[in-house]
Amino acid sequence: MYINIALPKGRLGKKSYDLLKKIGYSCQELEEESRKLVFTSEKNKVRYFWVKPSDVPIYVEKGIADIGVSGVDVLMESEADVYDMLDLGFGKCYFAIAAPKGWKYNDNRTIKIATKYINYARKHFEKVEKKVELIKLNGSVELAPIVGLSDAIVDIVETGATLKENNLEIIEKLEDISTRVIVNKVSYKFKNETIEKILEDIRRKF
Amino acid sequence: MKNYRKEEEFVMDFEKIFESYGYEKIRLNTFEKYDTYFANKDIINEGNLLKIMNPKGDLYVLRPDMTLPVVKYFSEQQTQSGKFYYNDSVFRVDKNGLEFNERKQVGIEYLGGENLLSDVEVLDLAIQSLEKLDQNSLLCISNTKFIKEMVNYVTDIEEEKECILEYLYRRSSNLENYLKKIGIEEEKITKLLKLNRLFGNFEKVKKTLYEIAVTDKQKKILKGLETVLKALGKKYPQEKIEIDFSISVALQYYNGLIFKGYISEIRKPILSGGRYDKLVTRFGKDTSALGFCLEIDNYFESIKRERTKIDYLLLYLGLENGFKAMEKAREYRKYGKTVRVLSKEKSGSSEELKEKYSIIQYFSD
Repeated sequence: MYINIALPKGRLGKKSYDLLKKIGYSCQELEEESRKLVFTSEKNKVRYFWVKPSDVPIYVEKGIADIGVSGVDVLMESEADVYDMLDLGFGKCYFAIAAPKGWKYNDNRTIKIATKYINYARKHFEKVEKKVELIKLNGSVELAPIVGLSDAIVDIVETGATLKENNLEIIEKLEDISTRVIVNKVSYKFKNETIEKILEDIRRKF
Repeated sequence: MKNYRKEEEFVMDFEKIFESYGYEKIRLNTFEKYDTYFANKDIINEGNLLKIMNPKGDLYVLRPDMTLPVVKYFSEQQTQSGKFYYNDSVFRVDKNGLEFNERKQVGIEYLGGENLLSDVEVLDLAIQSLEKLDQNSLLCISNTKFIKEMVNYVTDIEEEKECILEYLYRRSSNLENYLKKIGIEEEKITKLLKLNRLFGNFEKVKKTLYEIAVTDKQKKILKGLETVLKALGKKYPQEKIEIDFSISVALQYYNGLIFKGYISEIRKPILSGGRYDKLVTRFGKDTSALGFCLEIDNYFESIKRERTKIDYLLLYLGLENGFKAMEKAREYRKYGKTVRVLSKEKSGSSEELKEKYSIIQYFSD
């Protein structure tokens, strides 16, 4: 039985693959330069999908991939119904609300928030019962409050350097983010031994 | 094209199994008074219901599942027990509340049975149904009371309880951090983490389960479960039934045993069910109650089903030949064959035709 793994394109995916390689899931095809998106190793009984990071949870939820590697930010935003079984410990950062220096909450009016993480932000502000208008952006979110598109932003923060350069400061620190191994809920039941072994081997490599 | 008659025949096989256990077919009104659901909004997420209004302005609900209507029907009868099966549509709204769809469900409800014996019978029927769908199937069992007891033992704060349950349903690696953050004692954390990782047949997880159990209620639940599984073990290999506390049910009226069935080909549950005595109590009867339903549409949609061919295609050119073809068709039909007569000019490519018809005959000059 093959195990299907969805990896996010980019640095995080490469790092995850190195880890999987160490525990016996190498794939020759993947290491050769190519534009392919599916890589199979007959020998190690593994198939890799190389997909856009924000699509990993969907591939796993729908069971195309049994396992995937995804950041908590992407995972929370996707609201995918999957198991989130192992913290890989890298890709650490956090969600935060940031605004221009000196800005303060004003409860009398609806605050405008620009973000890439629209589902996450909606849930957060519903939870704390704050009225907000959400503006979905796809990048350079820091620009929004500077040019008056929004009052504040919800984004992920690693070092805070980008915020600082754009004269923004953190109003509130929200959820911590790290990279997780996610698992399809049905695959986990049918391929239990294989999946548990992968998780256990990765835990041991740390 | 889908072969709807084949699907119906397939579903009828389930009905035959249910009937052989004394279940009676039930058909109920699709529309239910909104008040019925509103009165139970603590256990049914009434915001996710599809509502319609009659011209007078009374609000109705398109049933989101069959259990509640069956319970309501049962509560209006004089009897103290009933065994029902259904094959009907339910209506669900997606999580954003923007779209809705109709799903076919086939299932049973066993009301007023003896507790453990009815557990065995319903689980047995669930496994039989799964086996009919696929050789490689699994039934996963959990118990909502057991988990509730566990969470109550850890904290008194409702918000924290909900959070912990959320983590358990996701088998989340973040559970440990969270429990530490809210200041739970080491011993309790160890127990919850064991529960979070638990999966396997009863024999495999038995020891851990009894270690985790704190209250007498929990131990009693495990004893009951053991009895039920022992009875089922006489008929089925133990790998068929797994203990899995991460399964959750969308409708919250289940109290006690819950279960979900899976087949290897489909990556979503195909069967789900459980015990809902409390719901029956609300409708004024104090009896045991449990059941399950098969999400039969998930099955029909997911598996590439074999298309049945039509026996003969008679192609003709020109009116005269058309009449000859019709004559021939009549003859074939006498022998029980399925025949279609088509003008050659209007038929598709020969590949398409070969896929659809077993034998193709031409009528031309």
